[in-house]
Parts: sequence; C-alpha cells; structure tokens
Amino acid sequence: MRNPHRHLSLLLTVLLLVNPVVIFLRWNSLVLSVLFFVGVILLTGMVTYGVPNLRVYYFNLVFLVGLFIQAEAVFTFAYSDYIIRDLYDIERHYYFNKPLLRERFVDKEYAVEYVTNRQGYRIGAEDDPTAELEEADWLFLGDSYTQGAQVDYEDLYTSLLYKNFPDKIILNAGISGFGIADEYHYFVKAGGKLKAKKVFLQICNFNDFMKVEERTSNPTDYLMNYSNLYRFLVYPIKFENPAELPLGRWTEPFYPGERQNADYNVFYKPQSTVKKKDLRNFELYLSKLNEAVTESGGELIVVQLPTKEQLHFRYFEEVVREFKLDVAKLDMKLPDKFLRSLCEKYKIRHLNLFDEFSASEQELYYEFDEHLNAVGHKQVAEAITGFLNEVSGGVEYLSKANAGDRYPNFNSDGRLLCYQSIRDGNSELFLSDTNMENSVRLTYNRVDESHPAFYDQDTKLIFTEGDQEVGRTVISTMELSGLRRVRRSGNGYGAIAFPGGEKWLASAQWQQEGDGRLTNPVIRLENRITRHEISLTSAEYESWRPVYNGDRVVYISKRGRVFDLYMYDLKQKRESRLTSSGYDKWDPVFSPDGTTVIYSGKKEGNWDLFSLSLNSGEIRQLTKTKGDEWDAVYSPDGQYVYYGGVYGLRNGIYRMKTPSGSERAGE
Amino acid sequence: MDLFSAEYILFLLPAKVLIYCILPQKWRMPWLILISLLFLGSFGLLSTAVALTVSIITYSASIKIANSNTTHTKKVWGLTGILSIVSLLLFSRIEGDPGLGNWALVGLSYYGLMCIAYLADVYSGKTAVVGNYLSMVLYTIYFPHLVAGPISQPADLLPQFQRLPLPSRKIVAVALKQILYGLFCKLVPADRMGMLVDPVLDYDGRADFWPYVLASFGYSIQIYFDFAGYSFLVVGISRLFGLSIINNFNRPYLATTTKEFWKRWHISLSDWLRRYLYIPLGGSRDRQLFPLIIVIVFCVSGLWHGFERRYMVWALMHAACYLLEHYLGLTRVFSKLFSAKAFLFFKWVLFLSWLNLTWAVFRSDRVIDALNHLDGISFEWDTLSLLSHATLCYWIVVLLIALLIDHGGIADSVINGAHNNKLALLREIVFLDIWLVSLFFLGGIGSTQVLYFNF
Repeated sequence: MRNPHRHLSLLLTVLLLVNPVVIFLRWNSLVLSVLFFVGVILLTGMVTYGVPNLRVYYFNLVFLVGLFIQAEAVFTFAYSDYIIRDLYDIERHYYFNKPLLRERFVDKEYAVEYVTNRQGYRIGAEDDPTAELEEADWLFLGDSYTQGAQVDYEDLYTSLLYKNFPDKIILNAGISGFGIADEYHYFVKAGGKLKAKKVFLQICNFNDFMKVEERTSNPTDYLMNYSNLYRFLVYPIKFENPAELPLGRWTEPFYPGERQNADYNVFYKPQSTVKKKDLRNFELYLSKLNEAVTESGGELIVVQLPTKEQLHFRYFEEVVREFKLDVAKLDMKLPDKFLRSLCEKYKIRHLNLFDEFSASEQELYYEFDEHLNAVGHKQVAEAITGFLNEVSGGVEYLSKANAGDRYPNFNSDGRLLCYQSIRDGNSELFLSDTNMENSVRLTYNRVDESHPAFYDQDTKLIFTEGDQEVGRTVISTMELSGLRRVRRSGNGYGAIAFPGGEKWLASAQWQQEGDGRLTNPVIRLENRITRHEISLTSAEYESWRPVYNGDRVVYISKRGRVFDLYMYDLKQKRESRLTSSGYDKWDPVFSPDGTTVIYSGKKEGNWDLFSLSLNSGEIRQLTKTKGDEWDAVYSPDGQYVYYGGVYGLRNGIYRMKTPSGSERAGE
Repeated sequence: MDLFSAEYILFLLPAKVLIYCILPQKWRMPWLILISLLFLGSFGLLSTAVALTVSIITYSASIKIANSNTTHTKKVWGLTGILSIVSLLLFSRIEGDPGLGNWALVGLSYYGLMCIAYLADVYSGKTAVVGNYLSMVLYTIYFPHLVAGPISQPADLLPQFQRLPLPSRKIVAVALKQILYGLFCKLVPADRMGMLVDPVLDYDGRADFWPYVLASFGYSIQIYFDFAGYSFLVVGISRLFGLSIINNFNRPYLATTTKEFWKRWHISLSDWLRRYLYIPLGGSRDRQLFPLIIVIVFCVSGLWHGFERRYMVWALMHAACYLLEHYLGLTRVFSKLFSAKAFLFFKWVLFLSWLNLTWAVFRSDRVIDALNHLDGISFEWDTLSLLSHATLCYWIVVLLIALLIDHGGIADSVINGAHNNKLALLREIVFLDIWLVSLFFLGGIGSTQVLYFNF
C-alpha cells in the first residue's frame, strides 16, 4: 500500500458520489443503501489494488452513476412538482396498481378519486385501505374500461353489480392498457389464487385485438418504475401525448393509411400477417386463460364492449373521413363475429353488449375520452345482471359505504334501527330507518361505542363503551339525542347488554382481580325493578352475548375448544347445551316467536348464518358464502333477518327475507 | 432469443463466455455447439432440424467430393449438395405462410450461403475437407451468424475452430467496446429513427412528397445503424469466444460509386457473390457477357433478400447504375471527370441521393407505385406538415452527426485504438460515456428485430 491516504481519499470521493445516505433518503431502503455502500467499497478496493488498468473506466462509471443518483435526489426533493405520477408496479409479464394509492384524476370531462388497497385493488375513497381479500366469488379482468378510472368507485359497473349480488365477493382487477396476454399472466400469478367461481374477461373492440403479444418488462420499465428523473426524461419519448393525436382523441383501432389498418384495425377486412399473428395470439391466450380459469375451479365468461365508432355514426364518419378509409373494406361486426366463434369453439359463455348499448338512448361514452361514463357502467352492470340470470338469494345491501356497519338492532315497533359504524378509526353509534336511507350519527368522540340496543321503552340506547382490545369496556346508556350518557357498570367491566323487556337486562360482565388480571366474563342477568343480579355462568370459562326471550337466556360459552350455544331456563334454573359441533358459534338471536335461534358459525373457515329450531333441535345453514355474516337480528315483524357482513372489500349491514322452515343455503 | 436484450447481454452472454473460458480446450467446441443449438432452438425446433440437415448434407457431400476419383463424380456430389441447399433456400423464400411457423428457417439465408461456399471451395481445392462432423455443425450453426450474418468464408472460420483459443485481455477490451457500440447503434439511432420513419413510410394514403423524402433519409440512416449495430455486436461476441469474424462494413456512405459501395456495404455478401457467382460466370473477361453477368449477380442479390418486386427493382437499379458508371468511366471525358477532385464532392452527393432512392424502393413498394402514379403525390411545400415532423428533422440532424463521427473513423479508433496519450484516453472515455448514457436513457424504449433478420 504505497499511498494509503490517497486511496482513502479516492474511496471517500466515490462514497460521496455514490452516497448511501442519499440513496437511503431517496429510495427509503436500508438494504439498497447498505448494498451500494458495501459494493462500492469492495469494487473500489478490487479495482485499486487488483486491476489498476481499469481504474479510469471504473471511476468514470462511478462518476456517471453518482451524477445520476445526485440528480435523481435533487429532482425528487427540489422539483417534486415535475414528478410524473407512477401508478403501477411492474411484474415480469404484466403490471398492476401500486398499493395504497390515493390519486385524483382530473380531465375536462371528469374528476375522480382513485384509491387502492394494500393489494393494489381499487376501493372507494372512504374505504379502509388496509382491508385485504384472499378469496373472491367473481373476478373481473379487463383494461381501462373495467378499471374505470373515469368514474367514481361506486359508479363502476362492478360496484353496481355488487348492489344486485351483495352476498358475492366481486373483485375488479381491471388495469388500463391490459391486453389478453397481461390478463392471462395476472391471472396465473395472482388472480387464480382468489379461487373465483366466475372470471369475467372484458374485451373491448377498441384495442384488444391489436398488438396481442406477451409483455416482458425490460430495464427501462424498471428504471421508469423506480426513478422519478428517468421517468420524467423518458416518458415523453416512450408514450404518445393524447393531445397530439390526429383527431384529438384515441381512435384505435382506426388509423390513417391502408397498411396500419390492415395491421391493426380489427374492423378492416384486409388482414396483413401482423394482424393474422395478433388474432392467432388472441386465440392462444384466450384458450390458455380459459384453461387456467377452469383449472382453478372457475368459469370464464367473456364480456365484449363495442366501440364508439360501432355505436354512433358521427364517430364512425369522423374516422372514415379524416383517415380517408374505404368504407367497403370495413365490417363493423368483424370483432363480434370473431370473438363469438372463438367462444363457441372453446365453449366459453359470451356476452356481447352491442345490442344493449345500441338500444340505449343515452350517451354511454364520454365525448372526447374513449371510455364509459357512469351511465355506460350502469348499462354494463344491468346487462351482466340480466345475462347471469341468477338470484342473489334475496339479499339486499343496505349500507351506503364500506364503513364497518355492524350490530343492527330494532326498536320495539320496528321502524328504527340502531347500529355501529367506523368513523375516523372509532366505532360510533348511528340511528336510521330500516332501509338505512337516512341515518343520524349519535356519537362524536375518540371512544369506541358498540353493540347498541334500544332501551327504556326505546327512549335510550344501551351500548358497550371502551376499547374491546384491552377488555376494559363498560355498559352505558344515553338518550336517542346522543346526550346524557350514564355508565351502568359498577366497579367491574361489561359488554353486549341485551334488554329483556322492562324487567330484565342481560350482559357479559367481568372483574379485575388483585393481581391486575381480568376474570372470564360471565353472563349476568339483572332484574331492573329489584336491582337484583344473578350470574348464569361460572367464571371458569368465557361466556358472551346473552339474548333473552320469555324465560330463557341464550348465550355463547367456551367450555372446550370452541364457543357453543347454551340456554338458561329461568323458571327451571337450569342450563342446557344447545350445540356441540366442532366450530365456533357467535351472535345468537331469538326469533320474535322464540322458537328459533339464529347464530353465526365458522364452519368452513368463514362465518355463515345458521338457525336452530328450539322445538326440534334441527340446525339449518342459512347462508353459504365466501364472506362473513354476523350479528343477525330479526325485524320485529319477523319478515326479515338483518345482519352485518363482510364480502371481500365490501362490508356493511345486509337484509334477507326470513327463510321459511324448509329453506337452506343454496336452495 | 434477442441478442440485444438486457437479459442476454448482462446475464446469458457472460455466463456463456465464463463457462467457455473455464472449460478445457477439448470441451469448448461441444459447448459452442450446445449454446448455438439452444440459440437456434429458441426460434423453433424446425430451424434447428433444418440447420442440422444442411450440415449433414454439406458434410456428406464434402466427404464424397474429397473421396471422388473423377471430376465428374466430384461435380455430381458438389452440385447435389449445392442444389439441395439452394432448394431449401428457395423453399424458404416462397411467399405466404408455408405452415412452418413464424421463424421457420432462421439463419438459412446466411449459413446456406456459407455451406455453398464451403462445398465450392472443397470442390475447387481451396479448402481442405473437414474431417470432423462437429466442426461442420459448428460452422453451420455458430450462433452469432444466425440472425443476420455475416457470411463467413470457410477458409477464415474453419481453421479457427480447430484451435479455439481463449481471448487475450486486449481482445476482450476491444470486444466489449464493440458490443457497447453495436448496442448503441442498434438501440439508439436505428430503433429511434425506425419509430419516427415507419409511420411516414408506412402511411399509404395520399403522400406528401417532402415528409416522404425526409423519412427516406431517415431510413437510409436507420438501415445503416441497424445492420452495423448488429455486425459490431456479433463481431464483439465472437471475439469474447476468441473467434474473429468478418465485419460487414467499411464506412459505406463514403462511397461515390455503386462498385465502391458494394465493397463497403454488406461486405460478406458482396464477397460471396463475387467469389461464387460473378467469377464462375466469367466476371469481366467477356465484354459482351459482362452486363448480363452484372444483372444476374444483382438479381440474385435481390432474390436473396426476398421474392418481392421491390427487391428486384432495387437490385436492377443498382445493376443499372453499376453498368452506367462502368461504361461512362470507359469514356475519356467521364473518366477524367470522375477522377477530378473538384467533382468528387458533387459525385458523392449525387450518389448518396441516388442511394437514398434505392433504399426507399428497398423499403417499400409504394415508391414504385408512386413513380407510376405521380398524380397521387403532393409536391406542395407544406410548412405545417414538415413542422409536424420536427422530431424527425431533429433526429436526422443528430444522427447525421453520429454518422459523420462513425464514418470519420472515430468510433473505430475508440474501439481499437490504444490510448497512449491522455487526449486519446479522454476521447475514448467521452465517447464511451455518450454511448452508455444514450443506451441508459434511450436503449430500452422499444427495440425491434434487426432489419436483416428478414432476409
């Protein structure tokens, strides 16, 4: 080591250029920063002592890399206004929404909030982005027409479809620019894991039949993904600016000139080898996708959207005139015939929306933008609903947002509903009409209020107050105005109070012992007239959720591995066990006539509703979905069962007709 | 398999070279055969099967020629081998979809000519017959040849297969710079220019004359950088395996005559045509047959590119110009004029303009149609229309500078030159940086197959 100081200075200069701190600040990755740090030290040492001939090239390269890193940092932090938003994460053969996006797209024709959850699926602007899903009933694959970044989430055709099929987990995986090859790769890599029973493939005649080829991300794609500066510089070269399009709008697949139309325009009768190859690839990927969907246990359904040129003469006339096309060479039904023949060949159900769209008297597309407007999405949802011809099981979705609405309860005349819902991270109490069209928020604070029930001749609500996570909740009451809150629990803790007429009040209660530990909750029954209280269960085991009817109290108790239903007869002062199957049961509720108990059971990994006849002991499964159904309650007239539910990224309060004696789930 | 992909350059190629260098000498040829087979196999098994069939035909015919006692038998075996390969070549040129897949006979145009050259050389005794079939297989399917040549001479390549030496450090350095420059030429000037000129040249509505002229200049630049980029790349790749293959270019746009041009452009094809067609047909010995031979040679060159009208017209244009230059050069006045220094620049500009027209014909049938229907062309000087091609103008200017630098020999000196003074080293670094930075920002935006892959 002839001159260690010189070598050390060189190393420090290199580290100043390829600065690990700057790398950490810019990319927020300690691993990357350490990798660069170690890599630079090793390489510099190797070049300095091992291959001195390469020194000039090496330090030149370091200078270039360093310059780029510094420029990236300066651009990112000092010129953030110029950063081009990057919405997608790239995979090897497709790309997908970045997780936890919160963007606003503003165009001359629309302004839309675009929000994604942790998995990158689009959700409503107010929805919980941490909610994830592992299964779906129906999965929608498609391009920007399905992604629908031009309409609000609730106006998407998949969201509207959910209103018609609220007990289905419906997932929208549409991504702008997706072709059938991308959709296939997405399904194989991610979509297939959702085990959807129905996979809808949306195809638009706009551009889904052209340039059908496998996408393979190259270094430029990754650089554009990870570098703001690179994206800023390369984006204008790589992508066309819509403002510079010949007609000021996307007109695919129509192009000026014979060759491009023969290559790309699926409506154009002459076919070049390019187009033939595209159509062959389309068939190839359709058959591969169909195979993959079938293998995952689902059914592929193709939904075909027409283009504006197919529907409206003015758009058709515009492209023919401006691009000087020979009308005799156009067949505006070609893609429809092509896809129909493919679907027949591979026995895939095919819904072509051309007829439905043609019959509409409203504008279904935006004027300049090529996508569907809110009316168009509605039309698609209606068409798919009609096509499926399936009954949703008579389930209605009552909530207006995915805000975690749960625990519905009625007042005695059945005209008012109370429930809990999440606002700003807290559970709050609400009142509404029975259709949940109009609701009133009663509580505004940072304390959780939950399990509400009408109390004191419907003049008050009784509810659980406090954080359930730490187990220190109490039972409180307040007037329907939201005022005059009174704590009912004494020194102990309590939850899930259930008023039994004017006389009784059942609840789960527990105490804190001398060592600070909490006892198991027991079911306590209070005679509100005498103020006398009795325990129906022992503190040796957990018991929760008492409901009262006549002289009977039903609750859940965990005396083995799982919670089961128990009933206490007040007359006979005797407890009996109602269920003994090997899965958890929660949330029992009596039918108004007291002959049946409905409860939630986690039989197949998710919560479904079951009914137990107290006369015959017969148990029936009322729902059989991939979602969770909880907190069932009968409407006082006995006609409906209301319940809280979660279906994938959707949740809220649902309503179904009370099943007759013989009905079972799926019948 | 795309030779220009980042995966290939950054991972596959280094792995191939590393294993090649680690292996003992006797395993290097099987390794090269294996990676060539895998390369060819990535385009389809049929391509591999056809290549192996051609190697068997060539090998068998060459053995038979060597073992023949009479000239007649030699001739029969020589012709049998050559005609079998020519038949396959003709079959691969049949228009339409022969049902053999997209890349049915990848590389046949190149290794087919190489095998014909080998049989002809064995027949004439210029090359000794290859005793080892593996050498023949490698000669046929050596992967850097397959996509777009060059058409190596048997005498150049076959002896190298016997030695298969490891490259020296200096050769590796030169090879890496050649690869870098090849990538730059293809992915930056050629592909970017292709993106700009294709829409103009492919547009087949009513043509505007000036944008079309502009785009045809762009295409002349594109095809040079496209083919030169590929050539630099494969020469560099070969060098990493210690093999030296012919560079197809020698500053072709410096040519002032057709004859000179074909000594500078696609040198391996011109050389093949000269050795195995022009000379056997009689060359310039017979003055009366000479024009016919020239027309035949250029027509074969046109047919080699494809059985399409545009290639034939393009070939005939070159043949006509060649003959015109030849006969005008024989006259005293033009002979003096052609050699006058004052006239040289004018001649160069005139020739390049003509060359540009031949490339325009080569690129598209539309030019021939347009020449037949001049009323379909708008000759108006439309400033707006030209302004809409501002990016194309800008790129043409930038790439003309790149072309000048290339033809000025700076790229060659950066690649090959020893930097024995600081100024030369600085120049080398500056150019390497320009290539690297250009590749970094523009190299992966959208790459297309090399143009000569289609031939």
